[in-house]
Amino acid sequence: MRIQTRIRSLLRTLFRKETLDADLAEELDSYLAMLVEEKLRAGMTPHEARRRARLELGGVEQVKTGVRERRVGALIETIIQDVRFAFRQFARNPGFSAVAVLTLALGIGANTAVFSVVSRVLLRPLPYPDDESVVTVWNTHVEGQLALSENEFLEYEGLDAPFESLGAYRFGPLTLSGEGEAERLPGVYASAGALRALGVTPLAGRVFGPDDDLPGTALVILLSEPMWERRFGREPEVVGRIITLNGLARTVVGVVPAGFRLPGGFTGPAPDVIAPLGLDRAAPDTRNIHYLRGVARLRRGVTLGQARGALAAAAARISERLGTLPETFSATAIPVREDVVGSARTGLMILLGAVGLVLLVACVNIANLLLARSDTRIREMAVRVSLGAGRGRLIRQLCTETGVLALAGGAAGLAVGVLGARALVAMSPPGLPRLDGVSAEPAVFGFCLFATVSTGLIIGLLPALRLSREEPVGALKGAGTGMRRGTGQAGAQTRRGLVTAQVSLAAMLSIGAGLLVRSFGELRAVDPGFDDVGVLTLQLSLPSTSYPDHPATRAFFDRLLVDVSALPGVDAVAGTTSLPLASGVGDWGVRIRGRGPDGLGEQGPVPDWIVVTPRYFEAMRIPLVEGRPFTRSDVAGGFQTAVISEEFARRHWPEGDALGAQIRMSTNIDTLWRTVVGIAADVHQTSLSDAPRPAMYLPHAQFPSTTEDWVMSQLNLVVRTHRAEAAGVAAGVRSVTGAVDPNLPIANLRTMREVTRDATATQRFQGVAFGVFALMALVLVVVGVYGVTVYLVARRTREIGIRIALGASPRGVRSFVLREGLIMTALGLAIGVAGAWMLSRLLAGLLYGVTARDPLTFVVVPLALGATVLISAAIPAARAARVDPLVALRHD
Amino acid sequence: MPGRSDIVRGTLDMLILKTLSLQRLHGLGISRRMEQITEGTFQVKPGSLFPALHRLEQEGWIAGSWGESDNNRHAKFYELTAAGRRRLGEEKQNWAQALAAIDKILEAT
Repeated sequence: MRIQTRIRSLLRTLFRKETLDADLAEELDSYLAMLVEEKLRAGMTPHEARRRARLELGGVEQVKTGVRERRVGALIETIIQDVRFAFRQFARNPGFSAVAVLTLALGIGANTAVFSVVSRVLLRPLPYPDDESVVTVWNTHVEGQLALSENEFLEYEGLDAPFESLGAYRFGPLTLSGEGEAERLPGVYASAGALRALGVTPLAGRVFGPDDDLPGTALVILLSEPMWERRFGREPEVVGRIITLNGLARTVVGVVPAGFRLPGGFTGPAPDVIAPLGLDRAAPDTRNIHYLRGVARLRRGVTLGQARGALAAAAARISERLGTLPETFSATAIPVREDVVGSARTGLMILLGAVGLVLLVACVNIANLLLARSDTRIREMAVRVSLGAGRGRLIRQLCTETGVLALAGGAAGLAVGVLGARALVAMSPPGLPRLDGVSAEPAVFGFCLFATVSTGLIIGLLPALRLSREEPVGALKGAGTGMRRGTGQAGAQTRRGLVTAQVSLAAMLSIGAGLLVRSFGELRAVDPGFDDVGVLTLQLSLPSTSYPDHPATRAFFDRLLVDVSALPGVDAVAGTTSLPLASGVGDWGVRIRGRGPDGLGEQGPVPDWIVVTPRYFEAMRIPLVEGRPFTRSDVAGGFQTAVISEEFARRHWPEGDALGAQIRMSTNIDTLWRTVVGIAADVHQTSLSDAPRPAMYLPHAQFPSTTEDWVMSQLNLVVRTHRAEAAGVAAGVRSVTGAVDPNLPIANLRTMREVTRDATATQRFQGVAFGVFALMALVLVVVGVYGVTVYLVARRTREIGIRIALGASPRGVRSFVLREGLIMTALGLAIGVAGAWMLSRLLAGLLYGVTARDPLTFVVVPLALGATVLISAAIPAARAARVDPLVALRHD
Repeated sequence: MPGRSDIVRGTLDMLILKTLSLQRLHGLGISRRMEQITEGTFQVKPGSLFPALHRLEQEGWIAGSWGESDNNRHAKFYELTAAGRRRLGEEKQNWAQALAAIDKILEAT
């Protein structure tokens, strides 16, 4: 009942306002009339009676306002009224409104875009329940983390106390054949323990049990949800079906949900199929190849430190047992979140900070515009105050105006943000994980709203406080004449302060951008160690069913290499297990003959190992410093050879006598001593920013192998062409490959140039993003400085006129105006450089080849920024110099 | 003549309801009646009276309607509704309680 009454009243307040107001006016009229009658009856003259009555009533408009403010829903009504008024205000100044909304849209949009990437990469939960207790397991040695060998994995798997489950996996494509065209599917080979550790719940069927993981048992496979959908239309009977993968019939036992990925697999396509790892636990690979990724789930109550301790102890046991591992060998656990997004975090957070600065600069600009406008509205406000508007009411109305502005900017910003996020994703470096998936999460909307509201508060507060401070009488007297300068002085001071802040923010951004761009330039200038112009590359994996043993794979590659090299335009072609800057590379402990106490070879060198076919150095144009490259006579069973890198030679044969030395790998299979026949120039194998590590090249024909060997069955082809445009021979290479084996899918077909470009993609992304933000800030600052100078000149036109009339030269006037800009700019730059000096430390981890306090950047960028800003102040200064003193003196 | 004073804060609503519980009155009538009862101690200014009246009307405690005054003037008259009567009871009770509490404080030794 009460509620109903209130709602009825509310609706009347909102929709029957005219009726209510007319009623009120009539009521007050009759009240006044009766009051007059009363006075007349008391014997006053009609004139006196009317005067006293009006005095007693005390201002009809004030009474009306009082009534309106106490109505039910008065607040809502005021807001609606204010919003309407705000729109009228903006419609009256379309230029101002457009500039303001556009500025805000860009500022809020850029922030929303960056945040949407941040939220996707960093904030989204990983697809593992309770991911706090999931860790990845790594070997460690001096130079960082290392994957696990089969032996090591089996040792760690036995650790029962710290881990609920520990498993291993490796990424590897599988070829689906049988139905329709053969398709190469991204896949994973995972042990049952790995899936248990990650806690994946199948949508249908089951995941692997321990029995699936044994070699020689029934072959099973898990499908991804998208694969299930694409190939089998989500039919539930898919469980139990048999599909042919890599030539083997496998039974589908379950379906894992879309979005399930394994640590290390968050870039590129998600796996379509998951096969059991199928280790031969009784006879693990003893070559000590580190190719397995480890993952584990901690037992409840076990700390990360305890788990690390247990792993280190297990690693020590292995070390003791084998006696061949370097002393620094150990093992550790990394929280899975750190493992997946740790490397991306710093860069993204810095980007978010940078774009936040851009929004701040935008806010300052708009606050400045609003302040300028508020000067012209002092009179309006004064009129309102004298008509009975309270200060709170005025502030509320001004805040509504800026709120409407901010909301319009925010709405446009959301659109800009969605598009911007798409652009960011499109230009993002290939190494940035977890970019796929939903684009407009609630978090992004929330952030956009947050940015909008904070923006509204920042830009609204200053003008509101300033205007509502005005004393009505003084304002009414002064505003019309242009003579009153009391509060105007304070306003000008505020505006100068804001511009100074703006310049300093822009300086920080520009210096950051300068550092990143310079770092990118340095990185681009790094010689990768090979010639990337005119090289085509592609990846081939031979299924073990068609190529069951080593001779079969060798025969295939031999024939393919001959056929491809016969193509027109091809100079040389070769194969490698590790494509520089693209595929990973493993390291392997070796002994050097004649060194160490027992002459069996000293422990120590752990070079990267790369298996290549004879013309690899020619195809990549990696110069040989000494000795010879591999030839076709380096065959299995013959004279065992190796080519080592300069870095390897320098470190272990400082006397320069590496050529002819003998080395042996720490493995039970390859027990032969190899002779170093050549020394190749250093190649950046994993990244351009890291110094080349010692490396050893082994001839493909002499690599020790087991049957069903993934190391040997997967090769990257490098094709050196006559032409600079390597992509031209792609069709030829395709058809030759198809002629040798029509069922073989080709992967990663691209030019080496694209590979090296991708290697600097992260730095380019950061440089471009920072550069764009710095540019936005610069434009805003230019607009801001220009606007303030124009304003200051306008405010002092009279003074300038007097100066000219008294004989000041145009030059003098110009420099007098420019001095304002110079002071603001110099102060802003000083603060900005100091801020950048302190903050650039954060960038240090992203930089290559320049220090975070690179003197060149810290000098050149502020100077360029200062010059640009001064030019924007020079235009109004020049205009001031042309002021006509007569006009100026009549000004206002 | 006793000094004039403003009405105790927060009691205007109650006083209006009480005044209207005696008879139907227009705005000027209400303020004159209050002055009369308090012998000129309380004066209600239009700036407070009208906002209070309209608020009470919107709450449904009083109902306004146009009619003719004693001098045949067109005027808006207010009367207490059933809900208003209940409300007056509540307000009186609250007031009595507050008064008793204040007395206790003032008489405390």
